[in-house]
Amino acid sequence: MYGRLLKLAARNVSRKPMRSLVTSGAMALAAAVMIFFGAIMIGYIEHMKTSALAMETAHVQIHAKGYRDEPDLHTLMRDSGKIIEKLRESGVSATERLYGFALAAHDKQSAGVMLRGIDAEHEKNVTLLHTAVGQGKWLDESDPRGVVVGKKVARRLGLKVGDELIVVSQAADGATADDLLTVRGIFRGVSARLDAAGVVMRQQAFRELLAVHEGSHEIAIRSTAGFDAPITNVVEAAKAAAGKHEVLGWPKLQPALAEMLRTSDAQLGFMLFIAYLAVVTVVFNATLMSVFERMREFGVLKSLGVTPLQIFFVVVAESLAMAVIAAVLALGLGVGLSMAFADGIDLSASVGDINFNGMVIPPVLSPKLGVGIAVGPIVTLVIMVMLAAVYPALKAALVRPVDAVRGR
Amino acid sequence: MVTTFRVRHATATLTSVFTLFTLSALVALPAAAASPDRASPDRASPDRASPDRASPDRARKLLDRVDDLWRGRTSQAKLQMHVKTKYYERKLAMKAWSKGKDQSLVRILSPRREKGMATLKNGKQIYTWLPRTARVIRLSGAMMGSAWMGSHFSNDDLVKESRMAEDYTFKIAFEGKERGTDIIRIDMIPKKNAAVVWGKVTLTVDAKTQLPLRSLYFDEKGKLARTMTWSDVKPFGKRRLPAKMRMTPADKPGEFTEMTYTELKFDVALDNAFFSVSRLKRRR
Repeated sequence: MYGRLLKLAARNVSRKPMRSLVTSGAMALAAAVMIFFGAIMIGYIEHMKTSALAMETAHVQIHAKGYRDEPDLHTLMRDSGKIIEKLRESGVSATERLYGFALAAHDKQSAGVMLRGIDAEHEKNVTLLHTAVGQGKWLDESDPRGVVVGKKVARRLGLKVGDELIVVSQAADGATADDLLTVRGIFRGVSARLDAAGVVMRQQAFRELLAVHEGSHEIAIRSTAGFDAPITNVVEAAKAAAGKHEVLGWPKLQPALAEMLRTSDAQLGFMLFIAYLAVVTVVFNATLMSVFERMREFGVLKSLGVTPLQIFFVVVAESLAMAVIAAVLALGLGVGLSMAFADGIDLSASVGDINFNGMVIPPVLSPKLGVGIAVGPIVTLVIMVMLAAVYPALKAALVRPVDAVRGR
Repeated sequence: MVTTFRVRHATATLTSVFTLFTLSALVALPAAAASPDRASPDRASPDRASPDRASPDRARKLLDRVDDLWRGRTSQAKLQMHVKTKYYERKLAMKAWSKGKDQSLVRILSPRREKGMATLKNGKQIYTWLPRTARVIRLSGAMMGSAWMGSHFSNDDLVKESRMAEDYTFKIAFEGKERGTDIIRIDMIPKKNAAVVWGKVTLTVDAKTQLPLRSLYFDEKGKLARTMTWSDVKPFGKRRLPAKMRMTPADKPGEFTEMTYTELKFDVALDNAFFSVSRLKRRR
């Protein structure tokens, strides 16, 4: 019996191929756009998070207590070497950093800068800072006094790659410290703080200049699984190694970013909901129209002894058939679109860098497909189409044969 | 003595001390040209200096005298700076020259690491000669708040100038004996438009010699911020002056910067070119 009903439903769908196609097409387009849009949103959020965390913050940081409130050359974690060792043993990537204020001068220009002494080799395992060199080269062992400077520092001091840079500061032992450095590279936009004042140098050069022979100001830690990985085990490893020092995960280090990411799922869901509402309206309208057109038919069917439940089934089956066609189309189209733009849509020509909370984020939209983002819209589509078919189906099922046949 | 201050971050900045010792002290005051003997010991004798006990002029005279104590048209000095902080202790020997209140030059003699470094003040500009990199750097705003040679004074302190009698309203708050010595204490409240961060400053002078003994600096809430003491009075040429001055920041127990003059000559021959950037590079 139900087999025959399905055949009936199929015939109904194919009887008005144009209308069925338009309805199906509308559903497919909506779902495809949702897949593509969802992929872009997810991709962008991830891109933002990665950009924000990958350059400096990493996943977790350790500081001596009080350093973050009042950064001082002397507020060191003297046991940083041991902490790093423990961290690496527990299977996370870790690197240490030192910070110190200095006056930098080139030609007749001078400006206050923040020297950052990094472990150039290990920093690579934790952040992508080495990829952010816009001009020139990254730090290298062969060039102990080579530095990479922030782009605004370079602009303010009129620095080019290869120029010399004099820095003067007060060393930890109180002595006036000065050194002649060479600009090896200039960063592209990385973060407000690095762009405006950053001078990144090799740790050894920093230690010699500022007479900081042991310890460090900051330990940055990243899960070896990459930036998308959950940080709970990283936090645990950090806490186990940090002793009395302060351990903070990136949501605490970048609260604005964490807040934005926390609300982004809800935002995405809401936008998808609105789009589906539009689809539902289309489906609802199409189904209702096709049901009303065929009221007489339903009346005849009922007169012939077809039960209301069976009629309900026919109408829902028609919608379902269209939804399934739409789903296949949508999946193909959405995934296809996302793959076609997988390299990213570069908007930098029109909008420039996006500055979010002091972090520079290149405006590149890269769709990121996942099972959830591809299947979610389709499953939702099918469910919503079925729901939209309920009212017309009820209408058809409950029609009084006498009225229907009379054409009322 | 000079009393303009700016409170900075952790590094204490006490204008007075610095200016007093490396600048004013070494810096000739134009006023001194009019009365070069103004601060000489004979003028400073108590019988001459306190004719009218009630008059505010008496307080003014005391303040002006203290301000001008170390001043001459030109000066040349050798001094030691002893800095003790929580993190380090260091001793520097330096030589300093000054002309007027706007020009001065300080050259580090030891320790070896900083030997030859020199700071030139010319008006509001400060230049540093760095022998290691063989460069002269003009200190810009960013560096002004930083400590000068690791002391409790900032570079800003080098360029700030003021006079107590001009920048404060003052009165004699106490006269009498303190541990067997006759002293006079003058309390000062900064005038509204004066570039002073203190809420109140007190200056205690020895009533007999009219030389300063100590000065207390209170913040706007009335809390003691730093103490300066002068001691070890010695003859320097015609003048008798405290050779030692110590600044103690109140919020950093155990820390101090102490300056001790080993040599101080006034009215030595120095031309303007002596204080030029090109001469800064030369070893003297």
